[in-house]
Amino acid sequence: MDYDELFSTEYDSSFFTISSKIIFPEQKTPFSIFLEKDKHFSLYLNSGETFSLKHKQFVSEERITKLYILQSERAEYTDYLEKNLGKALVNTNLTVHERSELFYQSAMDVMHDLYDSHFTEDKKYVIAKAQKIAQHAVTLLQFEGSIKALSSYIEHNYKTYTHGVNVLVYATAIFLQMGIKGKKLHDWATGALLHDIGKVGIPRKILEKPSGLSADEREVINTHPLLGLAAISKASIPSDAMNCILFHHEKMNGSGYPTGLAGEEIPIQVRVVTIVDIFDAMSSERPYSPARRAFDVLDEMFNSMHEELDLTLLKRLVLVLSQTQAQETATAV
Amino acid sequence: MTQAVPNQPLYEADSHDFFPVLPSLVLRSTRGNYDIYIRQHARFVLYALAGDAFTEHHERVLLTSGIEFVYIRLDQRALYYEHLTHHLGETLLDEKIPRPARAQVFYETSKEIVEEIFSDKLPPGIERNQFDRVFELVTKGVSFLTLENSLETMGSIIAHDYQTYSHSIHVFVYSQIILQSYDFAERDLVQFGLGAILHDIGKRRIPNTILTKPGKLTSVEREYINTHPVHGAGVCAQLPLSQDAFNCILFHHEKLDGSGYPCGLVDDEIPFPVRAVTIADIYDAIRSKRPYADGNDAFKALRIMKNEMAGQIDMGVFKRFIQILSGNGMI
Repeated sequence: MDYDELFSTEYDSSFFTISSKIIFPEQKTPFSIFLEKDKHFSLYLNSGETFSLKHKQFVSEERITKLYILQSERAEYTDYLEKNLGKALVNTNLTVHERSELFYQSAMDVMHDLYDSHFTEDKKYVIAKAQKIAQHAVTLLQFEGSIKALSSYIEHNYKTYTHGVNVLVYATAIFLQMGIKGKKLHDWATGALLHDIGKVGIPRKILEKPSGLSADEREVINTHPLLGLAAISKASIPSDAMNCILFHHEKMNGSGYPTGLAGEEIPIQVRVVTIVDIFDAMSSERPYSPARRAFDVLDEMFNSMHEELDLTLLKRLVLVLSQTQAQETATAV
Repeated sequence: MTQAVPNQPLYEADSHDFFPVLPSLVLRSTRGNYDIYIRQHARFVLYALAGDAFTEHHERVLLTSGIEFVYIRLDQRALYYEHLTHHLGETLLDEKIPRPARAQVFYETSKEIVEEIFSDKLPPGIERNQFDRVFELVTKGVSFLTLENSLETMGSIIAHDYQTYSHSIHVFVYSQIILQSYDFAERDLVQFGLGAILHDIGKRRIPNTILTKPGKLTSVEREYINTHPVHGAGVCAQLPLSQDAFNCILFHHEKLDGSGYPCGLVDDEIPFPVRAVTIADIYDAIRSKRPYADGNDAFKALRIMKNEMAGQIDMGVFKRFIQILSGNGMI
């Protein structure tokens, strides 16, 4: 059978693609890898075999950028990625963009587990995975240019799980800019990622309602910080992160919920999450409003929410955004 | 402070109010910034000035003269407690001081410290120095309670009049004794203790008229009261508490059958330390005299819990609690 004949076999299963660079050489891959040519697929490496340097060389000589994996082996791929992600994110042979893509893929997988599985899996296990993702964000964001690379993956169609990752990225960038380090940084990043976890318990038809909410529906939505606490009651999570879940709807002037904390009573990491939360929601396309430009959103935040938000921290967000976008954002202040 | 009384005539003392303390509690090598008086012929006589070091002579006189109490001026009360709190650890573990006296010190000092954080309604958060005192108190309390028979000693002191701050101390003592009978590290026990002593701190933000209302609450008032666990977390948001401590504050009204608040957690969702705090909380409440109910004796309180709350509280922890109470002669 020559090379072209390989592609004649029909595969029923559907595939998903990954970047050819993220397969770690000299390691066994626990899933099969396929190549594609004109919509035909060929088995390139059997699951359990080692992806050798020869394989790697072949892939790069043939300029193959995408590899294909069976949907039915997604779980194996996810595990593999999870195990190797830490190493990959600090591997400077990969570009920051490639590493950002890896990060986003893993983060999305974990967030799907968190929200779509409705915690059928062991909660503790999923939340521990989320904490790892927060740590990975911290690692990646310390590389120059990473915030720019990461922001290009930020999707602007608002979904609870993409939203969590977006807030993680921007909030962590702000924390880093504030000089936060070590365990505290990781704890705060975890809080940013999980702040909306209580939305798991809100009926989808309310969350995705296309127009204005009734007072009753609003009340239901406003329980999500508490539902968030319920969701993590048995998982082990730092109290600094817990505060992000419980208090990210508190406002500086005391008009927020669930307790009406005001000003500096609200822990600083929570104030950051609040700002990034609002920013990401307003700049994303939502069931009831189209996506908006960062400049317009910041403008509105400065002008009509100045009593509710910590403006010093809002300025930090502007600085972070100015590293990711055209200069227009920087002039919003 | 030492300029207080040097050459004033003794009768000046008559214009002050005093409170009694046990001599063993002021007889420490480190002296506080308060004056000590003794009572002679219905008058208060200055015995030692603030800052004066005690000599062995002082000590011998006091201990051998059969004096039951020494007296401290009410206006120096804060100084006395500050000093006591500062040296609480040594005092509680000082075998020269009789165990009941130490239990008394613990109880009185806690009341002082806890009353302060409950009564101070503004600003809404707890100040860091107040928290440091609570932390110190809980740390020392945890080690004191590990001493054998400590509950028995405490038991005779625990009053059954219900006030939020004394209730908090009782809940700390009961839950701590329960949790110490399981295998936890001391560091965790301290966090459980902080959670227990602060479990009702959110009541700072509930109007007193509702808290002390005799008779039945309206559903609106009930709803208001039910926000106290979440307000508690709010009051503590800036404090270095662990997740366990926050859990005790947030979830001490959750029930295993899901009928509790604020989250309606079910079964396993309620963390273990919280279950002990819940049981201690209910027990002390039923035991104590409240605006709307008389107190009950221990036996009756436990029977009510067993009969009426079987599906709501953790019966394993409850049994353990009964064993501990009866082992300490408290039933």
